[in-house]
Amino acid sequence: MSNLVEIYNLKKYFPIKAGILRKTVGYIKAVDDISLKISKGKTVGLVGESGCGKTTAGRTITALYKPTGGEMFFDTSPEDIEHVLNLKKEIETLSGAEQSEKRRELHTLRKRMDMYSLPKKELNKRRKEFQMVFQDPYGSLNPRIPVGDIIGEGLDIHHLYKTKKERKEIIQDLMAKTGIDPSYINRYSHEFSGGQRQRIGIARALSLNPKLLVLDEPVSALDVSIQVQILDLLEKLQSDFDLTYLFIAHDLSVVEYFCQDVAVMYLGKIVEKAPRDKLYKDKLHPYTQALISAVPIPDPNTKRQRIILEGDVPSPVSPPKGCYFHPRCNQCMDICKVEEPPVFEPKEGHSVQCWLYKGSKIVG
Amino acid sequence: MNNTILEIKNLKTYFHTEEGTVRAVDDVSFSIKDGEILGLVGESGCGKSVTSLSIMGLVPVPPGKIEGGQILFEGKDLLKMSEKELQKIRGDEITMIFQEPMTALNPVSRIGDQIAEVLEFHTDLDKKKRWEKAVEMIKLVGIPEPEKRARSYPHEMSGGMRQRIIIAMALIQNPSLLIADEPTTALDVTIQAQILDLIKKLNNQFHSAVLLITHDLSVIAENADRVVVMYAGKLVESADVKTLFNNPKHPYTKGLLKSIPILGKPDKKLHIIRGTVPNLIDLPPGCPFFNRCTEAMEKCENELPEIISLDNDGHLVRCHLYRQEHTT
Repeated sequence: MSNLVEIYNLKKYFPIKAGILRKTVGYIKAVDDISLKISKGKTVGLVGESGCGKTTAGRTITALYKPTGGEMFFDTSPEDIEHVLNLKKEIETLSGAEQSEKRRELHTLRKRMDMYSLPKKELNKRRKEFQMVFQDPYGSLNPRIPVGDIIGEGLDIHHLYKTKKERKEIIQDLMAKTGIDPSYINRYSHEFSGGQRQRIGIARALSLNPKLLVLDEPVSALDVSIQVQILDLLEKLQSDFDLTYLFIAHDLSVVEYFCQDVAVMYLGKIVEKAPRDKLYKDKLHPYTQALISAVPIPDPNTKRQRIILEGDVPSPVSPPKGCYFHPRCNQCMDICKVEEPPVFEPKEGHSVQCWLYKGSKIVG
Repeated sequence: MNNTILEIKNLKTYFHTEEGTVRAVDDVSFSIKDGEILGLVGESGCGKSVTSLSIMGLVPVPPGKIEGGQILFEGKDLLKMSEKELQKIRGDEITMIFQEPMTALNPVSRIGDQIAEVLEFHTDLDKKKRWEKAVEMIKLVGIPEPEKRARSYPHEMSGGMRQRIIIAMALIQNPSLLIADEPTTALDVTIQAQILDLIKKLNNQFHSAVLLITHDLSVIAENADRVVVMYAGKLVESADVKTLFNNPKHPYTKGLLKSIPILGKPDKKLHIIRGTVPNLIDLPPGCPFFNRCTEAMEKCENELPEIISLDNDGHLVRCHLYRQEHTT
């Protein structure tokens, strides 16, 4: 199976400015060197607590933020990706004129394939292939324009219709597909409930026929009974439109239900990554173990052993030395306090950034 | 230890708006026993928060008005008390934790002073003693370096720590009833686990009864002793926690339980409750769940079901399905 998205060493730092001259005094490393692959037609879950950088990751992947570093290949052939990556490795071993020549070659390649190096005009054209559904169904819809125009805005920008009539047809078709009564085309967003607004947000994202949808906490603001309705809709749309999803969430039971692959983030880094069943069965990282054990279960008959984490998530402005998780970790060793662990792969397809798995294959 | 501490009888809290009357809480009755954790669960707009505000005497008037019923606290009707009498009880015998730990604290006052303020109202302790007691409470809720923390301001603390401070404030007078309105909704799961753990520990230690209000059935399952389920301002089912989860009766409760994903059971097929909560302004005359119910019958449309008692242990349900079997 080929990958729709491959991201390498993605970084997004926000400068902290201070003083009259607004000098940069430091950086918030919201996303700090993450790599991720999303297979076509699959759903990848990105989970973590607030402030771990999952939303920033989503926004950078949809190119709403310009990354500080990294590459993203979107719908690129594996051969091409390999070519670029090999070239990058090769450059490091070379020097002098040979190196600069290869550099130029890499530069032209990236301008053609890496979404983050594409010329702006080119990127804007391709934006319709990846769209985002935002977390807050109340804040993400313009209250001053009718929902028809909210859904149709992308169509206008990308000139995807010929006549007004056609535009209306496309919009009403989208409304019907996402479960909104098409006759409400001229209503305003405040006339809709939270669940319906989320449907409008989904219709808007679908209007451009994207290949990838980044869903940022699409159900966390909704009531339990409405959550299932939206999850059901997303499942149906995925098979109807051959969509690939990046599902950003903090609710681990919803992620387990909805995603095939899961990546766990902590303080800007992906600390564990695996197919769903592997991750939930053999939780390797102590953070994943604690996170999953903290999820309450709607069954009063089972009593579970719970790992209660001490303290809070540290500030990403001044993260702790060594492994970022070590001050809260219940299996902390001496090495964790001084040196950041590399990414190990103790089992095929299951990677973890933790010193406990020292001796396993290093993959990053 | 099985005395009823709070008894709500046929409470009706309505809001009179320009568009019409919203029956936010409509004829709701339940009671809380000494030292027990009662879970009040329902979706947004079901009236669970208005119930708690009614107990605290904090319903905004107008547009709100308590149109009927009784709220008996240790036998005395809170609704008949003067504001002065209520104030003696509030913060002393009945206290409340709110959903938003970010806005419930005063940003320009030191944490220690805010906790000690409670004692200023309700005790004769001098300033030094009050401060000492505040520091002691900060320590009790598990915050390291309590002396230092007492001198800091809310913005210097994380959401989880602020919620701990609010709990410290709520428990300082060792209340007989603690109302926790969505105490962990704004917090991350690992912090939620810490806070719920703390509430349970303090419930054991101080024997305060807790009214735990939440939309999260999992939180109820793990923490409550008994459960009241509300829908559109009405009580639809009530039972002890095991009965409710093992043997739910109301189609709404059944549907809700089948609609939540459970950790470790990703292949569970989720049940979908179609439709949305009806507009509370013009509620149909029948059962409020009628339009979404999979087992609705003809009479459900026009006739509001009575509350039916299913056994002798207080399993109550408001549904026509059970009318033939039992009557009250």
